[in-house]
Amino acid sequence: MGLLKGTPTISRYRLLDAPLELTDAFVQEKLQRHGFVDIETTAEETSLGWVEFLDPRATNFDPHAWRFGGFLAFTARIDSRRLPNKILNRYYLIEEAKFVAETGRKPNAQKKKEVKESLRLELLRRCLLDTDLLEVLWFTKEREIWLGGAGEKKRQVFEDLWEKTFGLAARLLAPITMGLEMVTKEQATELLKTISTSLWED
Amino acid sequence: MSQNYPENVDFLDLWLEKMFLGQEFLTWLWLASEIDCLFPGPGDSDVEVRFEKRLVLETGQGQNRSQVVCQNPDRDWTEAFVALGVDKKVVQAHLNIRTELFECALNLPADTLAPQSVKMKATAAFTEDDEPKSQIAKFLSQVSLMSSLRTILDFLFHSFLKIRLSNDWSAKELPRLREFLKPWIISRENS
Repeated sequence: MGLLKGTPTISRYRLLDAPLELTDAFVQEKLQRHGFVDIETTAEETSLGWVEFLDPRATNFDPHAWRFGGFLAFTARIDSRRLPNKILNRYYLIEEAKFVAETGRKPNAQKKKEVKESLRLELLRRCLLDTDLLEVLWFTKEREIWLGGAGEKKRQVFEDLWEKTFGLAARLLAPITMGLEMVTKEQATELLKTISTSLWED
Repeated sequence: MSQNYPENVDFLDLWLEKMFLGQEFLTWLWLASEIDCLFPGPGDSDVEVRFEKRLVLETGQGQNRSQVVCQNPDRDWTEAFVALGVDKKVVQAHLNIRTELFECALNLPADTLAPQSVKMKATAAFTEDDEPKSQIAKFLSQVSLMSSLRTILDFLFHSFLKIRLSNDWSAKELPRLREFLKPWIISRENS
C-alpha cells in the first residue's frame, strides 16, 4: 500500500548528490517533461510518467501540488494493458478461416504476421487498462526519498523514471548503507570488515 | 552523508555481502525485547518494542537455504528459539512499537529494514480533537508519524551497531542473550 491511504509500505533511498538548482521552476519543468501520457484511447501497451500526488489524473505540477513544507510529493503512474496470447490466437484462427474460404489456401508467413499484428492492435484497444501508482516523497534537506511500495519490480520502475527525470543518482538504503552513514570513520572501517557471526561463537 | 561508503564498490555486491547485518539486528532486537521490551529512544524517551504474531527465520543461501515461519498470536516463540539453536536468524518480523506519540504495528524485513504495512494507532497523547479532518491534513499527519517511526528505527539500529562494533558484543551482549536462551537450547549445549 502507498503513503496516502491504507497501511504504508516504503522503500528508502538516499540521494548521492544534491541538485544544483532545486527551484520550483526546475522541479516543475522536470516533472512536466516526464509527465504521464494517457493511453486510454490508443493501442499502446504501457505508459509511465509522473502525475500529481493528490490527483493521479493531473499533470500540471503547479508547485502547490507537490511542495509540502519540508518535502516534495508526486506519483509515478503506470498504465498497462495486456493481451493474452490465447485470445490473440483465437481471433487469428477466425481470420485465417476467412482467408482460406476466400483464397482456398493458408496464409504465408508474411501474411500471417501482418494479420496477427493488425489483430493485436485492434484487440489491445479493447483491453481495459490497469493503473498502478507509486507515490514518492522527497525530503530535500535529508536528501532522502521514500517510495510508497517495495519489491524489485516497483523499485526498478521508480529508479529508471527518477534517473531519467532528474538525472540524480539515488541509492537504496539498506542496513549496510544506513550503518555507514551512522558510524564514525573508524567504526565504518570496522563495519566493512565485520563478518556474520553465530550467536554461539565469540 | 555517505562519506564512509567505500570507493569502487558496487552497491549490490556490498548489499548482498552484508545482508546479515539486518538479520543480526532483527535477531538482537527480538531477543533483547523478550528480556526487556523497553529501549532507550531518541531524547530521553523510552520505546516499547514487542515482536508479535509472525517471525521468519532463515539460514544458508541458495539451495542450502532453510527457513522456518513461526506464527504465534500468543507470542509463544518456542519454535523460533529452537531455530536459533541451529543458527537461523530473523529475516522478517511483525512488531509493535509504542512511544509517547504513537503506537504502530509493522512488518520489518531484514534486507532493507524499511517499514512495511504500517498501522498507526492513536495513543493517549493523541486525542480525538487532534484527528486531522481534510485529506491533506491526514496525509501530513501520516508523514509526520512515519518520520517519527523512521527516527526510532534508525535509533534502534544505531544502538545495535554501537554494541555490535564494540568489545561488549562478545563480552556482555552475547552471554546475556545466551543466558536468556538457555531453557530452549538445552540440546545444543548437551551435544
